[in-house]
Amino acid sequence: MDKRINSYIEARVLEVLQIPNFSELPQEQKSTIAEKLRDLFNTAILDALIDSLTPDQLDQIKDIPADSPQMEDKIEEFASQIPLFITKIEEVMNAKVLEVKNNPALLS
Amino acid sequence: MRKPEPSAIPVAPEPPLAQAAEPPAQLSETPLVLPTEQGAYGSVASERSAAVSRAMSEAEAERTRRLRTEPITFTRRPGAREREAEQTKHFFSDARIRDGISEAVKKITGRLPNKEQIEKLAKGAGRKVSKAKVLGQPLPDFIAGAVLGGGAKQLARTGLAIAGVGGFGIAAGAGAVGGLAVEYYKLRKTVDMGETSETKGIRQGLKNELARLKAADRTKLRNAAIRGAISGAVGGVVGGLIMDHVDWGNIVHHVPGIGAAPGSPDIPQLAGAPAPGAGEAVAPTPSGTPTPGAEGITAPTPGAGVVETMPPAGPSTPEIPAGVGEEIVPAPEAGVAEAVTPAGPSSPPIAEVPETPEVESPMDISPKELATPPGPETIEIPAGSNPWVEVDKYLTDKLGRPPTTDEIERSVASLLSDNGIVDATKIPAGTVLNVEGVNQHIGEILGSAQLIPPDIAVLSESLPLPVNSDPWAEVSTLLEDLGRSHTNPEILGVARELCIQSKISVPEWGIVGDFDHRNLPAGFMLNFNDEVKRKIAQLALAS
Repeated sequence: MDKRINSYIEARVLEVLQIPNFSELPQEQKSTIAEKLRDLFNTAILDALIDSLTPDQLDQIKDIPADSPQMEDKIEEFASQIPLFITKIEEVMNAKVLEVKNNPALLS
Repeated sequence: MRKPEPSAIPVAPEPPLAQAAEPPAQLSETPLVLPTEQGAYGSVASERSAAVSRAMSEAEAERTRRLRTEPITFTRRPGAREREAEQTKHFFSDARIRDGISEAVKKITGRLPNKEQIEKLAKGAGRKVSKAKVLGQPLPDFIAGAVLGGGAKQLARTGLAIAGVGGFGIAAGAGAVGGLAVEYYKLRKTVDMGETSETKGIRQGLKNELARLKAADRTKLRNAAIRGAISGAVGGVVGGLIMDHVDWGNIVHHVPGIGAAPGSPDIPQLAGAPAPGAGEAVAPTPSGTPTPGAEGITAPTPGAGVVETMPPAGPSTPEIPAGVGEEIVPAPEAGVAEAVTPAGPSSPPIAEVPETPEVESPMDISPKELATPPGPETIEIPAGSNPWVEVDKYLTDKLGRPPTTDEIERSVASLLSDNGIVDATKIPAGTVLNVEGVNQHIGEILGSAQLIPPDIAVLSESLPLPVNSDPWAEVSTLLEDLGRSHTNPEILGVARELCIQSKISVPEWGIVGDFDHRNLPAGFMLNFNDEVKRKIAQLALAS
């Protein structure tokens, strides 16, 4: 499943790279922009999740090390409990793509 | 949908008949004489040649005999989509998923379904999920892998998510349907407004902590969030399906509005949120083991604004395995049985799940497969180009028009996934990529097999017309709840389709049906089937 998720993110990265501000850049700069985009998308998705957590859920994970498998597991668990969170993710991604397309300077 | 004639499907080259390929008996019996000199070698070679000729003639004769006497069967090489459809079938055959379905039905109806009902619901769930899309891709593409290695956690998680949608289903049936998420986020907003500064601090602190992680770790967490969201999406879609199959007269959800009534439940109890325990620490449940997280949930009841608690499926209630294959029995505790069966014991215990005609099953033969046009198997990424650009060109060529961004995005995601590309910006020039998945997307587009996003896929397919309402008003409210654009022409487009599908006669719109739109009784079942849902899906999200 992770492979498909990754491919979705990469497709969105390529989508942004097609805009005139980026499409003519040298490959190296494109790769740098791509890294920034991935980071932007990751932040947007994780922020959307944290914004959707209940106080009780926040309490459950506040002391778990962020880079631990336990945190990964809890995030997956909580994401499965938020109604239509997948729709929320798509909305957040669409909003970010649009934002960057309209204002490429965000990535500079 | 029509099942294909075998000859209409591209077939893999038929291997030569096994008998013909085997060394004939005579050949194997021919003694192998090692040449000692040129002349001797020539003599042996001649004998062997004659033996081979005899054997070939006999093999040909055998082949001819077989062709005359035995039926010819073609073996079709299954495509990637077919394989995934098959895996999706297995996904819904898994005991953890079926336990989840069982729990969800119990939460909605107060009763456990029997084995046959679970079987039908699971099959229907497979079909329904096959029509839904997430992240621009068919939902089965994401869950199919769970059946194979490493998917136990995903299966268990999804089973729990399904189990947790009992309240979700109730809300869906209550007419608020797609507004569910909107309501959830409205309530979350309300909660946020009343959030203590400590909680706000924890929230922000977590964000900051995750932001400081290494990119690879953040990607892991991102994937975990999306995996969970997909499990939840499956749960939501299946919850909607369960609502389609329960008897409207016999359950407690005949009240418009969801848990926003005075004294409405807090977030975890809100319709759509899994029951406590759903999604908790996932240890794959052994086959036939009851799904954890079966605590009671609150649900709207016929009394305006009254919230009634269904009993938990604890030890005193029949466990799922015990109910399998048996008649459904009312939960022995609390008056739920009475609440859900106002007509008394003579009323049917639970609505029979209607049979879906087998020919409609996209799990058997996907329409995408049928509509897939012939095309090259690969494309090359030249220097200075990338998959987006090449897919754009390829789609333009195949569709005869410029593709939409969404069409390119879906095809690119599929291309990258099918070819195992991790970084789309670092593909060496000259790389040749397999386009089987892209061809299947083209087939979908040409075949108009438009998939339905999850917020619309979860809508119940049958909704009762409330008192003093009409199809137009219902469509208008629904679009508003869904956060979709709803100008009058847009409402008209969906309302027309709804009337056609519900067999409602509207002479003003040129629609002839069985029921006069001016005399529709309250409770008339409006048919929000896939045709109507696709109309809704075509509308843009309201800004």
